[in-house]
Amino acid sequence: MVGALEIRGITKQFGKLKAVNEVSFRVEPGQILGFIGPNGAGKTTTMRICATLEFPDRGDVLVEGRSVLDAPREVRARLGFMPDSYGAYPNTTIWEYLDFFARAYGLRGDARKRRVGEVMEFTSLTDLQEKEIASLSKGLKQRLCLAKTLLHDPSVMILDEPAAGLDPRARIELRELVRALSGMQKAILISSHILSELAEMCDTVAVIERGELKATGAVSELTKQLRPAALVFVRTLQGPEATERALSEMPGVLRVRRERDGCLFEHEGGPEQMAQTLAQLVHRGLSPVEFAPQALNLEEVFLSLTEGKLQ
Amino acid sequence: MSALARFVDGLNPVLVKEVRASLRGRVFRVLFSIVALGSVAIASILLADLASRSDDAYLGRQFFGAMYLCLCVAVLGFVPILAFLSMGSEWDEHTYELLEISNLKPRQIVLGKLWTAAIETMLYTSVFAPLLVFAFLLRGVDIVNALVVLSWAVLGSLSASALALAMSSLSRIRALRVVLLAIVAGGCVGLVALMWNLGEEVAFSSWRSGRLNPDLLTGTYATIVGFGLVGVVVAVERVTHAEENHSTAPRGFVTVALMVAQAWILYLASTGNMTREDLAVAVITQISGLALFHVCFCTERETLPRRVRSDVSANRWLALLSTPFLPGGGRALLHFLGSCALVFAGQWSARSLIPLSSSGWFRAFGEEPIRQVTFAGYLWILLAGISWIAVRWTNPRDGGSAAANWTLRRWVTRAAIPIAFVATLIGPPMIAFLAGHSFQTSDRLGMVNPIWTMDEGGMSTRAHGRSAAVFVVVVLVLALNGGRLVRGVREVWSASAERRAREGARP
Repeated sequence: MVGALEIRGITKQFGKLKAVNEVSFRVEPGQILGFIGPNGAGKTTTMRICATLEFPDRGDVLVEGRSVLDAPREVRARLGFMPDSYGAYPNTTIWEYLDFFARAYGLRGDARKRRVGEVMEFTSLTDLQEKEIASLSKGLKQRLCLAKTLLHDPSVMILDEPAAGLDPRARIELRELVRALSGMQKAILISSHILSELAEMCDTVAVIERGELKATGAVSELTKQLRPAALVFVRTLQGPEATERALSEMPGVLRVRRERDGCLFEHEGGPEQMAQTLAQLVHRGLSPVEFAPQALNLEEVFLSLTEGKLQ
Repeated sequence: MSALARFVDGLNPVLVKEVRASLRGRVFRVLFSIVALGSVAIASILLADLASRSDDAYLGRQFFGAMYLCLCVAVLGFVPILAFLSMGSEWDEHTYELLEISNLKPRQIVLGKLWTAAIETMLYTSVFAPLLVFAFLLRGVDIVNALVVLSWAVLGSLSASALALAMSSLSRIRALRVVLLAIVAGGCVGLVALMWNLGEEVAFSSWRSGRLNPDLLTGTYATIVGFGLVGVVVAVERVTHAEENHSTAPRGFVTVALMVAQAWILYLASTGNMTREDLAVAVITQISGLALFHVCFCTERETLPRRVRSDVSANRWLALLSTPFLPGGGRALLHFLGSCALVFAGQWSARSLIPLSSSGWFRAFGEEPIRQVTFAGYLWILLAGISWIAVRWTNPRDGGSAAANWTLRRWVTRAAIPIAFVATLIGPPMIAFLAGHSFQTSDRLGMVNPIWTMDEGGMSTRAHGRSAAVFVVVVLVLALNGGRLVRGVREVWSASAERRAREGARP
């Protein structure tokens, strides 16, 4: 079955530099895939290939089954691309800007007016439609660019660093918009350096470094692959020494170390075994005030998977 | 929906956007105000100064001349520069890629900007229209002639804007575009001066000779339109995505232009308005122009880009016919040779229509065999030199790490070919001069002048000698480039077969 966006072994070389090397993954309708990697890893090149702006030396990208190489115009009709350095025309109002791109996408008459109204409504730009673009804040420009990307109602969206340079409020608003788009069953490929932001938005991630895909999948799956044993932080009223002593004698506990005013231990069992460990701590007279399994966050996943080498 | 609304709805989106932005933009508003106020001020001063003269015709001519100059400054100076800046702003503001990923085609983008220039021209012309009508009412200007020069200014503005768009699309590097802007500005100043002089000459000609010179009229219109079309073709070619087809439209344009040129030459020859010298100059101009035009195409990557490959006709004969128009250095050579054949066929047909007359060039030249050899030499440089250098310097294969070197080599080659061409014009006379030769035909420098040599070689009564020279050159070209030519044709053939297979496999 063909995914909404399917990247099939693309390779792109600039002179001697292999920017992207045999990268393959897919994004399904309604899925938000976070595309992460260090600077120069090949994220933007991959996204530009998907958007038909660059050509792969090998491989192909399919958007709803249409090849970027053989049917670029059909791909563009189904894909919305928001580049990292988006452009805005001076001496143009928000409405004129959107009206222009709606015309460029072939929307005519009332359908165009209706669509421009809808995307302005969706991005909360209706009240500002007569404002000149030059006077907009970065957050509003970003929203305008997103509105432009939505004009032709694409089923696949590629957002390259959409949160870069935004203040916290604008970031939250952007996150809500992206989630809403996912709810509309749009497949979204999004890159960002703000991993905590991505972690809250994305179902799955693809990690790329030096042009090569290091891992792809759900964050929870990647965590499981990287750290098979669960990591738990426990703090008791009796102090870290007593807690460490008790834990090291319990079955299922692999490694214990003191951290802050408590202990961090690795546990190989499932939730039931973990509950038993907690019960045993209480049984041994310890009074737990904190018992918190530590999930790997996206930043840790990223650091575990990448080497930090530049090309 | 009203008819007007439907009309506006169907307009080029770039035109709509540009006009909206121009009318709101400070640059256009300031320039328009300067032109409007300036023209009224100049008109008032002129009238105050010349009002005491009783000769209305003189006053009318002076007034028309001054207003026409102001109009030329506005439409041939400001409008093309605004067009240049408009195209440049697409790169500077990072908006071009947004256009690229929309449904707009490069042609629509360029034409949208050109129509914007047309609207601006019309707005400027509307400022001057009442003043020019006033000049006509003062007498001294013929209405037909005045309309002709006005149409030149308007068409010239469009043509200059097209060339400005082409210049602006040559580079996406801002610093380089500043240099290009300086060139465009210089060109605009020259064009204003030229058109003003030409306009004055023509506008008042009926008061001297009573009629317009039809040759001047046709030649000027043809030149203006021709340059405009070149500008559009180059601009569209430059803004087209690197992997799209850059070659078919310019090559098709050249073929059509050559056909029109041959028809025009035949018409002139049949009406007795062309001498053999004129014909020779026309042929050499066409071949030289073709050679320079093909500098870019001969150095193209040999293989078809994938998008173009998938567009090759499924009909094998149509595919073969389209081969010279498809991208690739070898196929470009096919187009070049075909175009040369078209030019020589035109020359051959026209020659039979021109009676043999004594030619100053023919009388003044030296030994026949030397002439033939020199002729072959020039033909070699013009025809084979291009492909030869291209073969030596450009990498016929694409992709991978070779691509970086290939880009450098391609540009070195592109620069080397015109330099070699110019060297053939300057080098021999310099050598002859240093060797102490004294040529009787000092204005043409005899045998060392390629134009003279081509003419005398080509017009020689010893047809077999000329044929031999052409034959040798063609054989050399084919021998050097046989591999490229065969590969070029074979690739199109296989692309056509692939498409047939693809379409056959479709349910």
